[in-house]
Amino acid sequence: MDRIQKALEKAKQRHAQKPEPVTVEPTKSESSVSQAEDPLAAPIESISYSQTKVVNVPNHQLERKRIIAGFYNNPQSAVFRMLRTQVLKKMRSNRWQTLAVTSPTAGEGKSVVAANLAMAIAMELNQTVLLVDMDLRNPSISNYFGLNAQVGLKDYLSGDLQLSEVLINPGIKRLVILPGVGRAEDSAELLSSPKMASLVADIKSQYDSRVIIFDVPPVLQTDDVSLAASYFDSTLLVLEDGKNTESNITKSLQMLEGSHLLGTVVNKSASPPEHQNY
Amino acid sequence: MEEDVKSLRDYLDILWRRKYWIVIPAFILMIGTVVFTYSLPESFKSQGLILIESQEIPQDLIRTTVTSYADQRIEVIKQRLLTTNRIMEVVEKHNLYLEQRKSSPITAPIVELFKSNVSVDIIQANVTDPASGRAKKASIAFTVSFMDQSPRKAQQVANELVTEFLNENARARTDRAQDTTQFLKLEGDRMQKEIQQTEKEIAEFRDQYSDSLPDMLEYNLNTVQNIQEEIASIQNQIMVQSDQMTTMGLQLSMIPKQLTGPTSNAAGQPSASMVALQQLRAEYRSMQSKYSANHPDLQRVKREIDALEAEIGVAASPREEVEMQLTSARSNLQTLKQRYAAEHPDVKAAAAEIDRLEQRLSDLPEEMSDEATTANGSTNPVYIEVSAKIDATEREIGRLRERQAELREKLAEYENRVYQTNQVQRAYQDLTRDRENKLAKYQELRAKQLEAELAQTLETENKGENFTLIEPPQVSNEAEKPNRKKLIAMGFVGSVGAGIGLAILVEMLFGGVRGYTQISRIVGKPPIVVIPIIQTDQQKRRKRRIIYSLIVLGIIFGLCAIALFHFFVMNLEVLWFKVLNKLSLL
Repeated sequence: MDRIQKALEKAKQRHAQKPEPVTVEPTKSESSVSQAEDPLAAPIESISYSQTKVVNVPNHQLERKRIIAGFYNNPQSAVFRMLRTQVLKKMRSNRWQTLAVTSPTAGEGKSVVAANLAMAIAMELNQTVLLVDMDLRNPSISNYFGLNAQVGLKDYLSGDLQLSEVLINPGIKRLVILPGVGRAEDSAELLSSPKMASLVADIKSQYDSRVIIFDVPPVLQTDDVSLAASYFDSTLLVLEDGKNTESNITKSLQMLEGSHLLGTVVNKSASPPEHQNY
Repeated sequence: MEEDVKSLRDYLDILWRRKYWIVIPAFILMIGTVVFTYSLPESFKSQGLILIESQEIPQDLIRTTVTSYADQRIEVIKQRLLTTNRIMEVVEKHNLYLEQRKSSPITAPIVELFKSNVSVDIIQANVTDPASGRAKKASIAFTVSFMDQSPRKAQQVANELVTEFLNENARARTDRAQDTTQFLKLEGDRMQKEIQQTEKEIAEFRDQYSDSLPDMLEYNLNTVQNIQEEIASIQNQIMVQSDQMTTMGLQLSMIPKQLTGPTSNAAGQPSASMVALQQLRAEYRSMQSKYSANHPDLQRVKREIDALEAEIGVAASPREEVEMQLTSARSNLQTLKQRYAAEHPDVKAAAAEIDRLEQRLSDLPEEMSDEATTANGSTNPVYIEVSAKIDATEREIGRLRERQAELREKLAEYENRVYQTNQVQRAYQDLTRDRENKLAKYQELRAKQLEAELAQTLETENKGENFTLIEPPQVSNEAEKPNRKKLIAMGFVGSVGAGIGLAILVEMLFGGVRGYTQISRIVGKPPIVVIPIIQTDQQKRRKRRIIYSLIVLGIIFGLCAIALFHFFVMNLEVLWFKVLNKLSLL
């Protein structure tokens, strides 16, 4: 994609964003517009979060938690940008807005992949990202970003909180996180509650040009994914290299059949294929 | 479904991935091995080295009677020593295997146990065979060893075994040499007897055919010739004598028997009537043989004789009378016998007549012929002399004839001897050949016996091939069994192998789908990306720290190992020279 085309597209998006009513969007205000060196990047770069709580997380802490997609100096970050490009390309061409990141079993690194992917997408100047930690039983996004969130999705669903009270910006531009806090044994009920449905509808409608990434529980170990399937436009299956048996993978694929599977990501590979190295 | 082929790299990956499956079981097994190894009972081995010395005196000079190979002999001795009886003797003497003996009264397992603890190993070396010049294997020594849990007992038993080996060898060799000598001696004696027998037979044969023996042939032939010559000469003599006698008979007939009267007659001159009488008498005697007594001519001559006798005055002596009658009676009987049978009365009468006349003749007194002649007959000395000569010649002829007859007998005998010689010779030759054969055999036996006696001396004085103990069994300080180092090494290898096996098994049983291609195959399309293991700086640092500390630990450990080696195993300088030595050999 050459620069002119890119610029045109970004301009178009900006125009599309413009008519959004500021009042409906409590989380964001484009009050101050700084003069950016890159005029194309300016409109979104200049966003400052007034309502959303901002927690500045130092880079080294992110790096320690393997959230590295934003660091060009880390050679391992390239793979996430590659992933981002592929994902965005598909989502855009299909006009999909939400993406669920899941895996057959727990501990395959889906949260890390989701966080990194969100970060990588957020690096695109004209793209904002909402990362929702939908793993109610074992939320971990807050931990990865070192957010120390006091309230999370569970509290929002079961309590009487404003969305803006829950959302957190980890000091990375264009990235907002809806963290999970605590363990919810009744995750299925929460997910299937009307409040959840309205939340998803809300964020989808509010953030038109946003990509919403849901970090969901493992597909084989809970029924959460099936319950929440209707919220996702597309899914991404994370597989840990050498962990899953063939039947596990095929079963997972079967369960995700309803949603659009963007593809699979092989994680924790000891020997990544040669063509990926650059 | 396509099968994916695993490469070496994949296996290395598996091993690396499952390293804890390898390391932990391997470690546990190693510890187990070490514990097990050190809990095994110790066996101590004690061994003696026996050199097989070749014969001191060159084989060319004295040949030993023991010709079997040393290995074979050692094996034979071993078998002889390891009989149940002998083993049990040793076991009881040294109080071996007390527990086993207590637990079971059967000897067989104890014997087996003993045998399994005894080992006889032959040490071979490459030598050049002087005969063929080719290299061959030769046994130069052997070891006899015994293993027991007590090093002292092991040494005692090994010592006993070694001693038995040496004794048995010496005894076997001496026995063998003795046996050989004995056998040869008996054989020689037997042969000697046979020879004596044959010689006796020869002597008897010689006695029996002493005259016809081949070595007498010449003598016999000579004798035959001599006898023949002698017979011929005697024949000659007889002829000469007969001639003489005839001549003298004629001469005598011409000499008057008596001188004519003592007065007129010259002494010794027989008168003419006397001579006539003599002639008549001779005629009568010759006619008596021709004619019968009553033949007229005979009667006439008789009458003339009677007339002459009456003239001369000398009648025939009564004896002469009777003799004349007897002569005529005999001739008469002769003629009668020709005509008649013996029972004929005439013949009987004639025979009776002869008997009567013979009776009368024997009744008559003996007359001295000379006296009678002198007294009543011949008084002529010439006549007497000639008749005496005739008598002598007659006697001579008789003697010669006797001699001739004797010689003829002798000749026949000698001819017979010569004739027999051939047959005798054949039998004699058979006998002598037999004797010579036996004699040769006997000499051979005796020579062999002498050799065997030498060999026996060789053996009894230990100058033959000999077993020499050059290293008596020692009390061993180090256990021969179990070979802990080996067991531990094997255990380590086994442990690691087991660990690797376990890792591969785990991988096979629980291993998941791995790698880009496999996932592509299962999912149906390749994964979007493959994310490598993300290592944080902290992890990297920790890893680095671990590696550094491992290196430092390794160096320290290595130094310690070298120090231990230096102080407890071998001086490093010595090792250095050994290494140099090895290198210079290469």
